[in-house]
Amino acid sequence: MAASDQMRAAVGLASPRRSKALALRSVLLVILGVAVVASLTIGATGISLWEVLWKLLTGQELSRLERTVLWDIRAPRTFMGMLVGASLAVSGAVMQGLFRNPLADPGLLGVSSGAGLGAIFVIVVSGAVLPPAVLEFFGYAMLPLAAFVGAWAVMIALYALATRAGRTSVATMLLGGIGIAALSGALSGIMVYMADDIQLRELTFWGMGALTGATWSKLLVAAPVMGLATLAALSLGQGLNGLSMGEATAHHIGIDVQRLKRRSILSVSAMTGAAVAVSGGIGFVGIIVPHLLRLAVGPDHRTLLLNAAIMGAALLLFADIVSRVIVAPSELPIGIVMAVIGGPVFLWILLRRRGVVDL
Amino acid sequence: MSFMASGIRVSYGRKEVLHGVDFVAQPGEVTAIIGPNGSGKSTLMKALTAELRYTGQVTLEGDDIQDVPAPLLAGRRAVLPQSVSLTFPFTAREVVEIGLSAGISGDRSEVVLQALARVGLADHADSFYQELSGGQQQRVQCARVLAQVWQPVVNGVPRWLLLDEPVSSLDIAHQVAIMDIAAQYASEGGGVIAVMHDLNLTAHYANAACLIHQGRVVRRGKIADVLEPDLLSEIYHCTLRAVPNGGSAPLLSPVLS
Ligand SMILES: Nc1ncnc2c1ncn2[C@@H]1O[C@H](COP(=O)(O)OP(=O)(O)O)[C@@H](O)[C@H]1O
Ligand SMILES: [Mg+2]
Repeated sequence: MAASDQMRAAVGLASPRRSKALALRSVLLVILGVAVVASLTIGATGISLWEVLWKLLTGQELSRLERTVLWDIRAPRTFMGMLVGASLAVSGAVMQGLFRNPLADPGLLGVSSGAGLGAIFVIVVSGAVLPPAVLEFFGYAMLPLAAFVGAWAVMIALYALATRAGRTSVATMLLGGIGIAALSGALSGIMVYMADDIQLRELTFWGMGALTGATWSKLLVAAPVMGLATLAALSLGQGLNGLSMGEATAHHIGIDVQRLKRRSILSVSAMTGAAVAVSGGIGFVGIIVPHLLRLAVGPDHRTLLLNAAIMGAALLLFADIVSRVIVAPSELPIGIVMAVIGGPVFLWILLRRRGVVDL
Repeated sequence: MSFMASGIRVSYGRKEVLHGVDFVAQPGEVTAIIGPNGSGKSTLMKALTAELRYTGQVTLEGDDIQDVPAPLLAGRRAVLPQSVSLTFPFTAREVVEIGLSAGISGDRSEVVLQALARVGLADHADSFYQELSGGQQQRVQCARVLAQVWQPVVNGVPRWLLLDEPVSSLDIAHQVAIMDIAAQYASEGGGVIAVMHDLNLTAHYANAACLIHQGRVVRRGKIADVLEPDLLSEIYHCTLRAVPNGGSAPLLSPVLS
């Protein structure tokens, strides 16, 4: 066969949906770019989008107000929004692959609650024990760490509950998740009960999910954790594809299943833990993003994970912009915005699948 | 050069279902595993693929399979389980591709469409797996397995197809088609181990057989020595008689009252 024939054959052989998924990636990147610019320029403080853009492009000095708003408020917030969105969306996609169920999601199955429990523990209890100076210094590291531990414990418990002999029971997974969420919710409630007024206010806002408190120092620990865990998760695609035929077949085709499970659980715990630590409870990202992507270009995890990261980042930025402008000059917590968008989409997903999937 | 198992014991919980099974299969042959429902055929297959825990030893060309890492093992043998469930809406082509992706087998993705064509599903490459019929799904899985070890011999080392009831849900034409593929694979130097129910297909295609009953090997060896009407009648609780079939192995037919 001539070389050109071979080339043509190879092109024809690639799965058609794979090239669509790669094209979609470029589209999503453009959308994310738009979201980043919008997030940097839209907000309560009236600095003009075009003026700032123009100044940036032409290299002019920004005014002090502009600089503060842009670099100290909006830039960390945008950066955090991207990382949290990517982390939650990829967490959802990895959990769905791991549990072999499109309804798995860190929020739904109690992983976020576990992370939240860890975080609340730090906010309430460590405040009582440690001097403020120490807290100030370690707080930014302790919150993500405790949230990671909480998320990890839930993931381990969930997998042990839901999986027997390599098969995942959907009913056990969902009910187990609900049970775990309820349990960590109760424990969190006890700690909230112990909290003082200032902590309570902090907890309430944190629990509704918000990107408001984003500062560079808050991101110092959480951002690398989210970034690295998301990058690590992107390499799980091939393994999760294999796992879609069950653990046994995954092993038969050459996947180290134990290692795959360990890595999936660790990366989800780190992504969700850090995201929850800095932004509280933002739901539905992990379920909506992968689902829409699967509808559009198919379930191949090799492209799904990166696409989910980009789309999750963009979705959260847009939700954050909505949260900033809809009740301006005040702000609606982004968790509420996501729930208002996400709830109906989730129900729609459920209804579409009602005929197909029997729990 | 062989696929060998010795003294295999397997328990589910406290119940032992294989009580020390010895098994051997040679490359270049189709070796059938036969026996009544629940006799332990699938369990033996799962021991041969290290899918479940066993005591005893399974060796592939002299290597203990527990010592061979999964990616390397995937390049030396492919496994068709009795049933596979697929979670996400992959197409037939994608299912076959997934089978190729992880193993260090040296096979290229070009074999995906060739494998689908071999099982008669070239036209269904881009159909959703979950929307195919049970028999078609089974054939996609056959294609996946075939693609994974496409060349029967690599660098002088035979590769293996381990098939658990490969044709049970297929129509008669495709039963023959799949068994032809298996037989050809063996004739080109590869090894085939297949759990079979249809004794006549077994008689026609297998070179050797292993008859299992209640977790023990009752008889194994050349196919003609195993497929004995009296022995099988007793094991299967069904009176069988041999029907002369020209020059080839006699057919086995149940005696119906
Ligand atoms: N997962 C399991 N748990 C408990 N018992 C099992 C399991 N799988 C198979 N068995 C039992 O082991 C025996 C052999 O099963 P199997 O190897 O599947 O039989 P077959 O020869 O029909 O393939 C049967 O008695 C069956 O009930
Ligand atoms: Mg069986």
